[in-house]
Amino acid sequence: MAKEIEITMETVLTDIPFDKIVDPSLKKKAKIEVKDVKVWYDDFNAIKGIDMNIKSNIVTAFIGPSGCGKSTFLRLFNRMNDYVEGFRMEGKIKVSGDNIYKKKVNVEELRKEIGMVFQKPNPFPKSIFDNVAYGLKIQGITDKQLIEERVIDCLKQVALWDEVKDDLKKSAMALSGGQQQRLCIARTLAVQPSIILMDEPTSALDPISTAKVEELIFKLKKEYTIVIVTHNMQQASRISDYTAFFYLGELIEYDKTKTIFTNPEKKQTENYITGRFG
Amino acid sequence: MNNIQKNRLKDQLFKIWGISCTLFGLILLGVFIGDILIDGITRIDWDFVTDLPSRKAEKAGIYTALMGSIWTLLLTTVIAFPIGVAAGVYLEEYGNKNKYSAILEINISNLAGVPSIIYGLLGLEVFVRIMGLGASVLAGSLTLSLLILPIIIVATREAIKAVPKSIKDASFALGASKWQTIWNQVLPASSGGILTGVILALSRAVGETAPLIVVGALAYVPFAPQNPMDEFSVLPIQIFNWISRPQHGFIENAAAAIIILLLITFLMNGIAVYFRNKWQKKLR
Repeated sequence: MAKEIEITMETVLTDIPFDKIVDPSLKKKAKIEVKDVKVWYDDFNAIKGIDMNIKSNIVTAFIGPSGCGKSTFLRLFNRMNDYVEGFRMEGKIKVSGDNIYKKKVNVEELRKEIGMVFQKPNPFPKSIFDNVAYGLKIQGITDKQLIEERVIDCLKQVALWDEVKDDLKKSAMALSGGQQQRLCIARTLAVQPSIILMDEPTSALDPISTAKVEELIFKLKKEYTIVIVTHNMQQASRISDYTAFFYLGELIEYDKTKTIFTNPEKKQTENYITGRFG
Repeated sequence: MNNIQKNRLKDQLFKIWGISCTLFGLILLGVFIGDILIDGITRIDWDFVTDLPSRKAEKAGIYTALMGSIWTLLLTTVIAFPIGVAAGVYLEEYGNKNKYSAILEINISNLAGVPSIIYGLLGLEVFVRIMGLGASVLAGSLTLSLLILPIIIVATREAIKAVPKSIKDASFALGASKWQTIWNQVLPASSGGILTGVILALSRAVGETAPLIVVGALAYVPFAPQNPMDEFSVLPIQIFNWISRPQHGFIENAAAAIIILLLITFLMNGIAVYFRNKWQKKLR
């Protein structure tokens, strides 16, 4: 894997001058700092004051029963809640040191830095190629060669290239669910974010596709900071380094995944991971 | 008769009643079309389409009315399409959801129900008199545009509403602005629905008579319009004019013109259905 990345990065660097292409290891270590965050939907207090620091270049898993606020919390990081009617928020969220809820923040720029993969695969009703190229095109990039190389590179990174290399012009809607989800991840990688948010990315997939996506997440954490919401305990324990347990809008426990799953501090956490509720 | 038999009987009775209701409108339409075809089909030939109006029934053609209809249709499309779609996009994507927008929405739906002759009177006052356009194709097209704008706006909104939220989310999450998302994702995904609505609205416009009579479209125009300021006639007015004449020859002419008008409408509706099917397949 490391070798493959090296080669692609090298080719990209020598062929096209483009200021966004930097060695992944030089990228800003993107960590997330959350300070006393509260969220309301109209009168409903969805998040009741959370402090949390998410480390860079590891996988952090959010677990907890449905309605505990973990998805809402995840969507704060790329401001996807902004469109929700009645949404109101207090507190600070800093990404790489900058408060992303300042008035001056350019939300579009923020989302290029913080990508998101959704619960249900949601490819655009366009060709496979156009799906991955979309993020570049909306940035105004017109260099066809650059776009093509980036698309190929991203499809290779998600191990989809061999499956679709002859069908790039075909509609993405014709792919299987698992392929669609990997395409969505490739599409996210194409804009070169430093953080990738994943909202239950495998909940709509079969076990084999799930395994492929998990393998991919494992590879990606070398270069990206990944935060993943999951309902699947085994998944959290397999792929994450840190795990946060949420309950009723509060962060109950947050620690190394190993600690959470073998020796949790709180009774609630233990009850949840052992399947006694939730 | 026991209970089960009773229920079966009711079932059968309702089926028959339902079939009759379904066929009622279709049969009437079939009879009407058959009648028209018998009267008019022999009258249709190329000369009938290219001849100018005449006082002699056998020499009269629909050329000026047909050209007037085509001019009106084109101008109405050019005027109503961009305005209607833009208004629809605004209301669905940008407009705040509050008390005022609710009032606005209800009134746009109300506009769709206003009798067309009222639009004719509005067009007469605003376009013909105040703006001084006279009884021109442009004035007629503007009037028809007003008439079909609510239909286009409502159709646009419905088509945009049908675009899955997940597609918009994906676009936003990649750093697209609202306009980029609308232009690159929402409009392409809803274009089939929007086009369907626009074409259905236009096929209504092509059959409108009352507002154009009020605006001043003439029953007899010796030449086809050459520019938007020319006076004009349209097919429905020509039909109306012919039907009100006593000579049998003109009745035949009217039937033939009706066949052509129906063909145009069916063709447009066919195109609309085609777009709708294509669009539904694409989104799935």
